Amino acid sequence: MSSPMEQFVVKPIIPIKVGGIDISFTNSALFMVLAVATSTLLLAWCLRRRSLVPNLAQSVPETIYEFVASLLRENVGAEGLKYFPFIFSMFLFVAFGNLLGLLPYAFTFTSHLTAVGSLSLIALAFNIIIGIKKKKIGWLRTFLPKGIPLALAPLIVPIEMISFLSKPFSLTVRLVANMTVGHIMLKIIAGFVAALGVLGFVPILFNSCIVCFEIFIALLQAFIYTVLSCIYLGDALHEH
Amino acid sequence: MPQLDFSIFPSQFFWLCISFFVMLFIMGKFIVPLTAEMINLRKAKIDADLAAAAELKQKVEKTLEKYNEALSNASEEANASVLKTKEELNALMERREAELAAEIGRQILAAEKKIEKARQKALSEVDGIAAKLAPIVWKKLDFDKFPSAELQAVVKATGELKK
Repeated sequence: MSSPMEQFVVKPIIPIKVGGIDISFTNSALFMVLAVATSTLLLAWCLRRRSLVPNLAQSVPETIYEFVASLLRENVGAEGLKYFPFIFSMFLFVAFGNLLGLLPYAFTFTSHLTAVGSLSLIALAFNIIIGIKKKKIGWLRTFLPKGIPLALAPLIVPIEMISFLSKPFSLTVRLVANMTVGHIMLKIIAGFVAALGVLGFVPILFNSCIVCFEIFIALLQAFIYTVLSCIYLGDALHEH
Repeated sequence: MPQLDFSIFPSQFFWLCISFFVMLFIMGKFIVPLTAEMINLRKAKIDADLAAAAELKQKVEKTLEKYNEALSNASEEANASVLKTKEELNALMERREAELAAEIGRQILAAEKKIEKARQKALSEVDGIAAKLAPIVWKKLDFDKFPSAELQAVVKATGELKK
């Protein structure tokens, strides 16, 4: 019986090395590309025939659009709609990463700290850039909120910095832990199928239920990741 | 745990950046505008329809107002015209009445004058008639001599007395 951890092993498909740094195209990278391809192609297919009165296919991207737009409006405000494509892409990227990972033999890149961490780092960089663009030097106020006596600065500034930097970290860990646990559970229960012999249909039924549940979790975690990104974006844009 | 293997970080980061930014580009350039286009068109159409409906309603209200105004103007005018006609009629009637009264007065005056004249005439003739009648009456009564000079004096005195 193979280890339930084996599914998470990153294997290079096309080894690439640039200046001593390994940037091989791995199975993880393949699924990132697949997530992009499937999400864009699916939405493009849905949008192939558009009309003022939406048809069934057209209503799919429109529903996602309205959903992300309301998320931004509620958490960031009307000015947040400027960053709509970023949040929209992030939601679809994570959602498709999660969902594709549920397919048999698939690799779940959203279960990897390094992958999701990279995405969170991009989000963090994005927040810092638009924060500085909006507030200029006042952006440094993020680490010393108004009304705090200067004497407390040596205490407050490190705390605020840690809180600022822990946001992407908590985002990452939440998604990674959820994805990892779900997949390990599926693998372990699937392992019982062979071991139980004739009674193997019981874990199969159980696994079927868990897969349905995991689909729900995949979408829910993508939603949570997006909501929290929106909230952090709102923090970057507004005083707090 | 392979998840915690940080040696793969450069590869993961590199490919994630590429795929995410490619996705951001496709979404931002094509998918989002295409989706938003229809949503905005629909919203614009709905808003335009609502605005058109509101405008029509306003127009209807304005027209109704104008109609009511015209109606009240017309009734006012009609009332005024009726009143004017009434006044004119009254004036005409009064004038006619006055004219009639004047005519009647004139005729009465003329008649009175005529009567007066006739009376004067009659009175002036009375003396003559009396003088003529007296001898006849005298004769009939068979008095002897008619004292015509005395009688004439009496008649005259009577006539003067009457005056």
